[in-house]
Amino acid sequence: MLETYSDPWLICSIAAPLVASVAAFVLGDRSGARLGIVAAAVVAFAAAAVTWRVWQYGPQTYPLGNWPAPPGIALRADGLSCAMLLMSAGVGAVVSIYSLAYFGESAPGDQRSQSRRVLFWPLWLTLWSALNALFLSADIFNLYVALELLTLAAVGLVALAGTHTAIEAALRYLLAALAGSLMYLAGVALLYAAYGTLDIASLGREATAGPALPSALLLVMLGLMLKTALFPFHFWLPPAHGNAPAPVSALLSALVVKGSFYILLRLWFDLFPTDVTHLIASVPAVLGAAAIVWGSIQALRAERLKMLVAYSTVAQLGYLFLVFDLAGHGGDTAKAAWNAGVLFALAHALAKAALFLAAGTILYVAGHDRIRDLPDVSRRLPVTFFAIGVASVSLMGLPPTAAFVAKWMMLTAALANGQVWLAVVVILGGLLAAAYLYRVLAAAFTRPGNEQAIANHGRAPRVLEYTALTLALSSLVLGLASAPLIDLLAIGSPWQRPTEQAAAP
Amino acid sequence: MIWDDFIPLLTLLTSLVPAVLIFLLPEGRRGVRTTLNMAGAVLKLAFIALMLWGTFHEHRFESRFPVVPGVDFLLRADALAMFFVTLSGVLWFVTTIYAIAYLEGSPNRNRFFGFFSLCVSATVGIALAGNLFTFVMFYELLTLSTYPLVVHRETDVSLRAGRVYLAYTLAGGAVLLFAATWLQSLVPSAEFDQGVSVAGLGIEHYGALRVIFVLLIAGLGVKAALVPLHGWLPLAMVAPAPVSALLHAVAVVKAGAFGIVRVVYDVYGIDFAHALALTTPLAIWASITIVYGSVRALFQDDLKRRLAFSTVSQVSFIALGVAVFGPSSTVGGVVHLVHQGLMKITLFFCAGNLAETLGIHKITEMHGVARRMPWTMAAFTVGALGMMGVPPVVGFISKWYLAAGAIEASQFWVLIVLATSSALNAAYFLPVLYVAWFRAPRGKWLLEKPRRSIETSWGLLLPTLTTAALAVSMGLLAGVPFSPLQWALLIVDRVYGRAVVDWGFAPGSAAWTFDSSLVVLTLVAPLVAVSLLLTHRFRAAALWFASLAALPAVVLAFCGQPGVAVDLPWVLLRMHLGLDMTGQVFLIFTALLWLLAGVYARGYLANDPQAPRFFRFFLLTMVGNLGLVLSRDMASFYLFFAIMSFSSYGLIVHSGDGKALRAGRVYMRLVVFGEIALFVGMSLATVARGSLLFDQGVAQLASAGTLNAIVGLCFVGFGIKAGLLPLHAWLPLAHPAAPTPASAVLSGAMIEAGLLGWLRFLPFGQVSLPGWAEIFLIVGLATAFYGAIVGVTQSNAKVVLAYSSISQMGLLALGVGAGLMAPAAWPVIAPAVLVYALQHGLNKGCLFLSIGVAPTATAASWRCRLVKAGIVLPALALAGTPLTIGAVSKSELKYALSVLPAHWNFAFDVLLPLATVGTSLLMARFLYLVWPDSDRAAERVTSAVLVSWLALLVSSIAAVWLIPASAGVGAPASLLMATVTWDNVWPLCLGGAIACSAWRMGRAKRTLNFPAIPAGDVLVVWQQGSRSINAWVRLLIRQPRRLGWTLPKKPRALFWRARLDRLIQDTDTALDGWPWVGVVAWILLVTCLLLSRAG
Repeated sequence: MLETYSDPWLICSIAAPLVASVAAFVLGDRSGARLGIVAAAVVAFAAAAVTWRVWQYGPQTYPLGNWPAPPGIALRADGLSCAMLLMSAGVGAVVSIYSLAYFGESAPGDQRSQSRRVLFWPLWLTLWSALNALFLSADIFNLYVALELLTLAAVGLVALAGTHTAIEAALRYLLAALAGSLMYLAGVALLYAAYGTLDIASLGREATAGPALPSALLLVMLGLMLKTALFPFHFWLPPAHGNAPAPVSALLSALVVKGSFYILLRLWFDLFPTDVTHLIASVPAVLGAAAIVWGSIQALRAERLKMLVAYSTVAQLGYLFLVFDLAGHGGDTAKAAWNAGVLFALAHALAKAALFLAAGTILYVAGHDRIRDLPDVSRRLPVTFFAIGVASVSLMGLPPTAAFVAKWMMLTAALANGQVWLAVVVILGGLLAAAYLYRVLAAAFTRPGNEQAIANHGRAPRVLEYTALTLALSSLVLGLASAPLIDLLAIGSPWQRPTEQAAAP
Repeated sequence: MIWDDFIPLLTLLTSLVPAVLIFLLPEGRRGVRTTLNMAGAVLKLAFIALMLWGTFHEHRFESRFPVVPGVDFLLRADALAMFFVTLSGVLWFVTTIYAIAYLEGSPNRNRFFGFFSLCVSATVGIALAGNLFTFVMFYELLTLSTYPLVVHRETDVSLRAGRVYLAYTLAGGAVLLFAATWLQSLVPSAEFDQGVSVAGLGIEHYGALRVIFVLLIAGLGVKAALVPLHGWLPLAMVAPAPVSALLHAVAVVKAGAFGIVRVVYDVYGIDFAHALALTTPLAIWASITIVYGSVRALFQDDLKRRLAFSTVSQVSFIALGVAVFGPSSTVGGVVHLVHQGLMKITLFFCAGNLAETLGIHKITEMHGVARRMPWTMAAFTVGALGMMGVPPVVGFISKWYLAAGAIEASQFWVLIVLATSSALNAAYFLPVLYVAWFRAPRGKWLLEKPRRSIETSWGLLLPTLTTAALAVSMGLLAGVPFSPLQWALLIVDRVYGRAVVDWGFAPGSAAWTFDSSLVVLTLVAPLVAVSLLLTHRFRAAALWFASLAALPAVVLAFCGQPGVAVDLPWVLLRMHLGLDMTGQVFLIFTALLWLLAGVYARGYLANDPQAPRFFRFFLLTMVGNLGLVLSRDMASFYLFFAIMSFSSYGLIVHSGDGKALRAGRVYMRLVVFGEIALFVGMSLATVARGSLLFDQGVAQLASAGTLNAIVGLCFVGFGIKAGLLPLHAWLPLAHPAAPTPASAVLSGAMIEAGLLGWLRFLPFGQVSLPGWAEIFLIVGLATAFYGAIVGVTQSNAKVVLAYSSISQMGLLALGVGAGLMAPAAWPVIAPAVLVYALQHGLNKGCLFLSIGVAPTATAASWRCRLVKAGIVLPALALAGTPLTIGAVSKSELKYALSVLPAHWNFAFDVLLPLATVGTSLLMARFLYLVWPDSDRAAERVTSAVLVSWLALLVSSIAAVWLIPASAGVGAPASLLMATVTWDNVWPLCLGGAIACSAWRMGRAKRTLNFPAIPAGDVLVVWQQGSRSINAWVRLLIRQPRRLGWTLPKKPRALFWRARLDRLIQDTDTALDGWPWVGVVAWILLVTCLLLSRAG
């Protein structure tokens, strides 16, 4: 299938938030929210439009300034990009709506709330723009640029809370992320030096052998692992995610970490030849497995809800890295594992965002997020607890969520490959997730001890409650609708291309 | 039609959509919520009916949606699926009504009903799932949707129960998921295809397949509560009653059991599973669970916990059925899915009713509760008896097929499991019934709601009665199309292609005649009378009707053509009724006795307020006794035998005093023991014969390898009823305890049922069984003498008569023994036995009735003399005075026994006259005890008493003319004349002389000091033994806890937990530093470099 030319919606999904971000910064206080919502609408529409085009006509390319790829910079959208774009658009839009209320006028009378609101929108819109750029980039340097921009915006958002711990977490995050970026950049430099191109597609065609490839892979992998907070590089994530304002945590956990994972996934399968990757495929898998276990154990011990959710992210990210090993055996299992990885990433994005938003709502109403005292608020926030319930089901990987479907595919692939230990880890992870999430869920069925103790003021704004529920339910629906999603992912996927090539001559 | 593809999905949605809508409703919208619930339930039933009809006609309903490549969401309505769907659909409907009433006014009802509907959706999904993926999906969904129901009360206890429940079921689900995906990685489609694709795998996969099987069963076993994975179930009892009912009867445990059926039959295929040697271990596992659950249930005082452990035990019958490699056992296992559901939901509804209405949670609080809530306890009784496997409740059908299947597969140990379980079931259910029905209330109830016109609210009572009625009718009418049994047969026959033998099939069905209607009327009339007695409205009329309910039977006995046959193919396992020569003789004295005892009872109990209760039991017992005489197949015989045995408990304990209750207890234990022996014997005999019918396959039975076991079990089973030594212990307690008319039928008619059982079940005239014959002869003789000797020492007239019955049955056992010894002589022996039975029945009945009449004849008037003569006559007859039927029957018996080998003949020449001496002594003792005391004023009795006694007296005098000509014993007059021989006279004279001298000695105050043998003689020894066994059991079970053998868990666990916590914390701190990250990054870099270089 020919890649049709120049789709303006591609650039629109990147430009719109960027422009809105600048405008919000310039125009200040009140306009931010409005601009944010407009940008969300545009991004959502653009993502839908791009997906539609890809669905109809196959992968789309947009050469910036009409300069063709090798020297010029190109944006490219295939099934995977579209899925990620949709994820960012969907989660981003819902979180934006949540933020309207969270940072709105009726927010707790915090001195810093105004400055938080002023800074939140420009930073978030920049982050969004960077994220979309990352998903659409067709060359590895561009990816670096987007990644760096993403990091900087994310660090800014973490620091937004302004407390001492938040600043410390942000700084830690910054240092870790920069180290990761640098390693990645080194890898990019190696590749460019060896093959003289940055375009992923051309690199994929040309870089078939050579001493630079393994080294580049290592650097890229390590850098991106650090940025994705894979065990044991997760040290920066829980404080950063746990101390940021709730919408920020949601964005970081749902979207930002997926950015670096996306790069690794794309390069691993699109760029590096199989004979190079399969040598070290077990490294991310072992670390992933360790992450699942360790993250879950930490989540079991967490005393605050947001820390629990953050550690849960550490655990859940572990699953994503199993894919590299699962796909190492080629054939149908590889395809299934790859699909499972993407599906899992999407499911996690929805569920985790929902969980963080719900945690934010609880914090908003109770003034704290101590797990021990959760029963006190459970009667006030039935919808929120319902959302937590549904999101938990998704995180546990139980049906009918997309995470269940993904786990099913992972398990089938693992067992077909004979990697029983991976299957055991996947199962164990589900049980551990159930164990730590049970601590939260049980609150909904426990009689409140001291309902007077909660800090706030009536009920939470309805928007806060229902946005979380929307995200949670969409992770449920995604499971039922995974068939079309898998079809979308097939467009331009590494598993599609060989047949295209075979068909071309 | 395109709609067909959506009907399974729509069935699912009928509960899923209400669930979602209910979540969205505000708490107060009760009306809307109820409407939603009921509309969903009704709609679901409509869809189910449609699919049932379609599936029956081999129409295919299938909803299929691809989820990811190679994995489909597949709902398919096959026969097995429909079985489970129908069960859950119907019970959901009933439980919803119940739940609405139960939760009236409690908080969080939206949450409850939302999850309740969700739970049903999950169950329906499990049922309809067409592949493992869909199955696992709904299986997990079920876990999630039931958790909120378990913790609904929100107490600490329920939260703990919920935690344990989740831990168990999620872990089980995880194991299942693992196994399912493993299987899918081997067999890409993993659809339920009767094992075609799995069996197609190469031999190199067999190891993996075995492991997968074990994992699948373990995963499912958590929900199916296989020991030791059952721990969650008793704890989950804290949930509200409707939840327990649904959880236990349908949803959770059944989902597990259903899954096991699916795995064995649809994933692996039974043949392949058998080839992999997986079925026997599963059967053993299930058996262990069955026994363990029952034993644990014994020791629970909390009613719901007892029921929970009973569930643990009962659900495993399903697994046992599919694991035993026989088609019939599969039918038994599969049909138990529904049967257990019906019975258990009834029991839980009842427990809920008791808790909700009276605040009763414990069995020790249930004293006399049946007086306050008779309908609830009636339903409970149905459920409990069904669990024990008493026909006609559905449990019998399951157990019957399980047993038959086990025999087919030559897995005889399964019979032991079944028998043990039945005994244990009786041991933990019967005391509950006893406490509730036959003990007096202890005072005020714990919680007394304002009394309404009925015992509790309609919403609670109606569902209970509905399920109880279903449990009875589905068993009684098991042959009706679309009954659970027929559907299970269809599944096994059609889907799995395994031919199930139709045991009840009779070639050439009988034509319907007037006599056929009479046969049916014989059984229906008493049942109608029973139902009339349930209301107070037409009490007097109902009592009269009840007393005459045996009239059709009498008409049938005297006017019915021998050979009349009625086939009722839709009753039980195809019921065949009819009348042959044996049956007719039995029917003559049985029907006469019941009719006259009924009339007598009407007069005898004229002032008893409990008369309706007495008549209810009386009539049920009558149905049983008449029915077993009319039965032409073993299942019907067993049914009526059980009805008779269990109902007569009510007659024995009628007076309610301590003696009667003790007699009832002893009786009940022996009855249960006998029923179990009979059940096993009957299943063995059926499989050996290849038919349930008495007149089919006798030759096969005679040559069967299991013949010895069959005869042995019948010897014990019927020996209890007939009162053979040492199984007679109940008789001298029970017969005197019952009211006089009841004693008459007990001693005259019911006791002969044991004899009839032998005549029907044993292969007479076909094969010589010298070993068993000797046993019958020796035991018979011993019983005859023992009864006489112990009986003479008694000082209660009724006890004397009871011992006389024992003694007489011993003599009858001699006839049976002779028949077994000399098959060729059976045509001679059979009439002798029949005449003896007739004689004994009528005379013994008459003697019992005369006990009530005797106190009227104190005066010296001619009328009183006539009455005295009427008392003496049957006693003389029984003793064998010449010119009476007694002498005729003795001669006949003696003649029959002459076919025996020489050494026996010699023995009988001496012993039989001595036995007659014994009988005459017993009769003398009886007359002495019952003789009207002229010092006393005459008692008045009603004319009903007198008339019925006189009628029976006349018929016993004229008994010789009652023997049907077809019996072939000769002309009455010549028979009577032939009895005037010296052989018949001298034993009587001797007996009379001994009696006279004893009487004279008594008059002279030189009393002989008889050792006082308590009634029930050997019982003393038994009770001592059982007491010490009890003590041992208690010691074994209770002591470990008391001695502290179970380790104090807490401190040690806490210690390790703290250590672990510390370790994790230290690791975390270590991980949380830059140096560490740098080191790790460096190490990784180097490792990876090395790795890539190495490659």
